[in-house]
Amino acid sequence: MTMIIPLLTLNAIIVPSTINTSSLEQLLKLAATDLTSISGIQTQQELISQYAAVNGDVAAQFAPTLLAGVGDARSGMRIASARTIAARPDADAVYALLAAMIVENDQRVVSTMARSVAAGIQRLPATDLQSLAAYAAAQFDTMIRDHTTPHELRKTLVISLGRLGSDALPYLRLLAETPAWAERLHSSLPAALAETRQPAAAADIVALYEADSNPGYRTSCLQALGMLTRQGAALPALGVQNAWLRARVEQEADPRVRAIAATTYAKWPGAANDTEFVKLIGQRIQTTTGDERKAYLRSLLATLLPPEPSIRTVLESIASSQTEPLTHRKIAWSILASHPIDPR
Amino acid sequence: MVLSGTVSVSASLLGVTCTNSMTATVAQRSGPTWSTLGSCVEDNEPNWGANLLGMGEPMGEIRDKDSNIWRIIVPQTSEDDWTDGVTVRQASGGPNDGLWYVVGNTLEIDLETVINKFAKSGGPPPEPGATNFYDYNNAAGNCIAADMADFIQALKNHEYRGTPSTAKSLEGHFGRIEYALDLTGDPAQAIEDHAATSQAALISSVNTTIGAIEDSLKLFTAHGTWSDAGPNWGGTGSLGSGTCTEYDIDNSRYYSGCYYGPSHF
Repeated sequence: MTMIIPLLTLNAIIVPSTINTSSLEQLLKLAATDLTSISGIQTQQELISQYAAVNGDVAAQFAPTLLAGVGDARSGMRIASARTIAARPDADAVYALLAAMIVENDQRVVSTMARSVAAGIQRLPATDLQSLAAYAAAQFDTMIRDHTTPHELRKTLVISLGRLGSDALPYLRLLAETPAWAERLHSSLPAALAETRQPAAAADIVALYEADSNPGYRTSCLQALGMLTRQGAALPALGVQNAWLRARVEQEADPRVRAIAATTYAKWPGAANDTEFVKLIGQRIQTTTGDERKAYLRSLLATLLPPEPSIRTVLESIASSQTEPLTHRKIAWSILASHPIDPR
Repeated sequence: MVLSGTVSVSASLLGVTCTNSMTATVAQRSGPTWSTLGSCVEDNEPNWGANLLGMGEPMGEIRDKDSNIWRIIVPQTSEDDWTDGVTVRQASGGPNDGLWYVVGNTLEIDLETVINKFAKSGGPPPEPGATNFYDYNNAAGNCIAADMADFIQALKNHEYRGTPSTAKSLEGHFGRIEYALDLTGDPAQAIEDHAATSQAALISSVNTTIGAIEDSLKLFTAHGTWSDAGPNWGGTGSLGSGTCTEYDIDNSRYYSGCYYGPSHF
């Protein structure tokens, strides 16, 4: 079957609908070296992304040159370059991106660069990391603690710091232990801790949960635990947390917190064998509405189990409803589509 | 799945080869599954916010309702990973045998705005015995004298849909997301046609597509020239105007002068 390549329009340049790879590469390289004729961030991003898709190695070498930029008018190119490095990183390109981030003035560009540094480091082979992650973590921490850093950017930096993994955990713990920073970063800390993917972070998240009884905050802690629970099969240390989590499904006072606890617990591979739990979420799907029902639907989807006949009937009703919220219908449909009935 | 293509069949019998081909056009799947609901609840967490001490504490923000962080398209398994938001399947038999494709998705935009409790009328004082932020700034002769109600409303509108509250307003964070979605396209529709020879490759492709949309939405709603202009903060005639002062905790008094405005949100 011949695949038709989507059209890419570059001002007056129309890329033919079928074109071989080397010709596309030549065309994009030519256009990418003269971006003064290309307007709009989206077109620039598409261009550089398309170029990187056909020649990632050259793009990684090419992108740092773009990082130098020419004043604020070229912020689109710097953003696109940062994303290119994140998608196909090598250690040198990530170092260059980190250096550019430190001196960048446009806060939107800094935000993209921070996320791209984190994504790039996550994709690098461990053998290439050397001290890069540790260096990046130190830089992120410095920028977070800078009082002139806008809050909007600081939130991005905290999550990006978490993505650096084990190198980030000591910095995040220190922020959590410093009252002034803990208060400012309260909302971001659970997710940032979870992004480290370190089993030890589960205890930190549970501690945050226990210290704040607000339902809105507790749901965020549970969401963060969900990320670590996803790796439950490989993290036996999380077994303790699973028992605690299971208790939250039935003991929490706030019904929405109970529902989010169910969604998080359901992500643990062992949850599918917890027949009482599976029975409970089936019951709650039938007796709840709104955000609670949505969370229980997501819980059932996460268990990967085929629904019992009685629950299947409920799901079919939800999926075909004209009044049920759209997302509820989509989740019900996804569960049914995952376990189609054998017509035979 | 592929949107269109040419299917070729070739068969040989007794040394004679016959080849035929036809153009197959596959219509994009439509319906509720391939659209993304976007919603935002205003001022949703009454206990949110850090003490306003003149060191960059935010007065308001917009964020994902469940995770409380800056994620727009959810659910995200982790940052920039939408594995939990898509249901995939491997085709069995036929011309697409073995290909992985997206059979459904649970993507949504489920946001909330939050307003700092210390900023609001009746909010807690910065320390025991002190006047709270609202009353101090609202007092005669102070930064937002007799106009703090409008200031707080402008703050709320800045996070939501501008002044007056209007869908797709360019003067509010949520309004800008609504507006930008028309430019980026619906993420559910964007992944409808994705297919790959392995599950991992399909998820990677989905993440790349949705990630680009998420990035574009975040860039479009980031603070820029719109943040402190227009009917929210644009000076004379706007709902909110001016700047406020915050509390110098080291000296147990409010800072003299008025410094903190829209760049604080």
